[in-house]
Amino acid sequence: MKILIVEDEPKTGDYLKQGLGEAGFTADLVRNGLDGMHEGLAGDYDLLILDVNLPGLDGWQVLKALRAAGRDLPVLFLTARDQVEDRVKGLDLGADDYLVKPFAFSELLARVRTLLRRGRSKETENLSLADLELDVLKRRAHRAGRRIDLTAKEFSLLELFLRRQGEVLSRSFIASQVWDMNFDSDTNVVEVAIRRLRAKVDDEFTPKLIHTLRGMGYVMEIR
Amino acid sequence: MLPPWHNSITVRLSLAFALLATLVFAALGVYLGGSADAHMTELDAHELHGKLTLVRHVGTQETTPQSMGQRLGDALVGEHGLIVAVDGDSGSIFRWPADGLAGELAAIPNIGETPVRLNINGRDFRIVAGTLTTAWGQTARIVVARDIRHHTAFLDQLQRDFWLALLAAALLTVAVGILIARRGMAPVRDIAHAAGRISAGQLSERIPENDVPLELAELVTAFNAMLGRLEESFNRLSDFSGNLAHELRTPLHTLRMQTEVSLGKLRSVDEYRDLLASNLEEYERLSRIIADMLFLAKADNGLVMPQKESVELRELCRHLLEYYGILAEHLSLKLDGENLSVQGDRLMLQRAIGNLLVNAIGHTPPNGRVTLVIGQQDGMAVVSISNTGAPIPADALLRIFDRFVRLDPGGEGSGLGLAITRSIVLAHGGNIAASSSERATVFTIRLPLNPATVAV
Repeated sequence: MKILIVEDEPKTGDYLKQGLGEAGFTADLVRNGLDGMHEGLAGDYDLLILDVNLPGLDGWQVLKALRAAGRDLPVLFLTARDQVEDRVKGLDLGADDYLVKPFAFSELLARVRTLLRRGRSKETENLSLADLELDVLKRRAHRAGRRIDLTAKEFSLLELFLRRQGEVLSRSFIASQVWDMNFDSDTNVVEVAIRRLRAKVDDEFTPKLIHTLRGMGYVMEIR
Repeated sequence: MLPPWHNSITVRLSLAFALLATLVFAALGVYLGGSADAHMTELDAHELHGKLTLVRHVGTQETTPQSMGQRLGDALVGEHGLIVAVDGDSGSIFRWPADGLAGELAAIPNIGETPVRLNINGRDFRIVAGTLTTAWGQTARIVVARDIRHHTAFLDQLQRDFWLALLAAALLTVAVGILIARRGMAPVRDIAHAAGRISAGQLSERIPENDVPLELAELVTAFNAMLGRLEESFNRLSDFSGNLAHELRTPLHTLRMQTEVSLGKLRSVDEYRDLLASNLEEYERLSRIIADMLFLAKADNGLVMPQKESVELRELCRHLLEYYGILAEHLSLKLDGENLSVQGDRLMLQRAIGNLLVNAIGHTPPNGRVTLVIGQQDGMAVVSISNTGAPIPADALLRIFDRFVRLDPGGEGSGLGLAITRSIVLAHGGNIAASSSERATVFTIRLPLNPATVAV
């Protein structure tokens, strides 16, 4: 998976490139709009991460040029502005998603994966990790052959974890995916919900599957 | 460019006084002058007619023109300024005074018994004329005239004196008017002085309201009320910037301290990881405060434009209860009421009501109760969120929607939640209120009902 990053802030750009590289992507970095447009038109990228405020051509102009040339790769906008009009403008121009700085890197990663996954893999009906099994259609969960009783939301939460195995999921991402709560709040609802899910899924079993990454979020994997 | 006095109330008032006084005097003068003139005219007419009668009387008694002239001459001895001419068919019968103007006057035609004023050789005369059938059987024409110089001179003098008096009165009125107006404006100057003393540092000063004239009382009251509001906003603002600095400094201080200490010597990877994770938490806190502040700053400037859509309140509340209910294991949560819809931004309303719900849950002791009721009143949708728990003190209740106000200092959260809730509700054209008693603490949001549903 090749990702093109167009970002003029040196530190942000470098860390984005490093972070995406370490997450298993091939990431190229250019630092202005003009290069971004040339690379986007010429290169063979699967996703474009585009800063709005760029020297020369701004992000919107780059996107316009790409869309005009018929390039339909997914585009994720980064901006320090969160005006509704800006968001609408970006989405109108054909951007696929929008992140306001400062954002959590895990959030960016989750969005990147969602964009890359879009329209590709069909959602599977059975999910599993180690001895944990989930029958999505019948809404049933088993671990080590034992049936686990889950509430509807707990099931959705577990399903999200299993579909995103190995990915760090931020609290706000989980809140928006499972509860459709799309604003940051400083409550620990997600923490409490995960604690309860763990009690059912992990407490009496080994290996532990749900892990906390302090300050970043949660990840489901065998450790 | 208008002259500087153009805007002076004192000058304007005194000029207006003077103008009014002049007009009144002038009107009076014109009226009195007219009266005097009419009176003089009447006196003259009376005298002229008297002389006319005298001439006719003599004319009917005397039998020759000579004897008539003789007798008229005797009768008019001592009359000065009187001119009499009697002309018969065959020439002049009588002239008084014998030479001079009498002939000239006698030649003027078309004069009847109504006195006429004429100017001859620069002298004013009033003239009447009549006819007479003499004793010797002739028809004679009598012309009687009076030199009215002493009357006109009197009137002229009167007018001159009058206009001089008028001018003096006008000047006096201006002078006195200025004095009166200045005195009258003194309270305004006092107010201006008092207002001038007030600066940002002394917003607690007020203009004394007891000695103020009735007409200015309203102005002073309004001005003082404005000062009150200013003082309150100013105090809030300085509290606010103090709080903001504190709020931003605390995480920055933590970040700096722990990073500095950690870098002070070589540490294990786990310790570094711990440090970075802790830093991450502080960054998150900072970034949330900034986002909230930005939201509030925009709301203050009316930049928060809710994306209007129809929002079902019951569904929204149910959704919020499902989410935040996770935090309320030991409480009983209840949602009650009608299914109403309002126009607004779903995300913002979620946030506004969500904040209240989180607060309610957080401040309710175990086994307490949080109740959400949706109803309507006076065309507004009313969402009230009540919880059992320690009542909020009355003074805290007053400030509860201010920024950075926390009931429990040092507690979780930035203290911006309720301020944000209030901004959102206001941006939706609604209002918010809080009340608290031993039994329950209630927050009530009122939002304009969706017009479509009101019509049904």
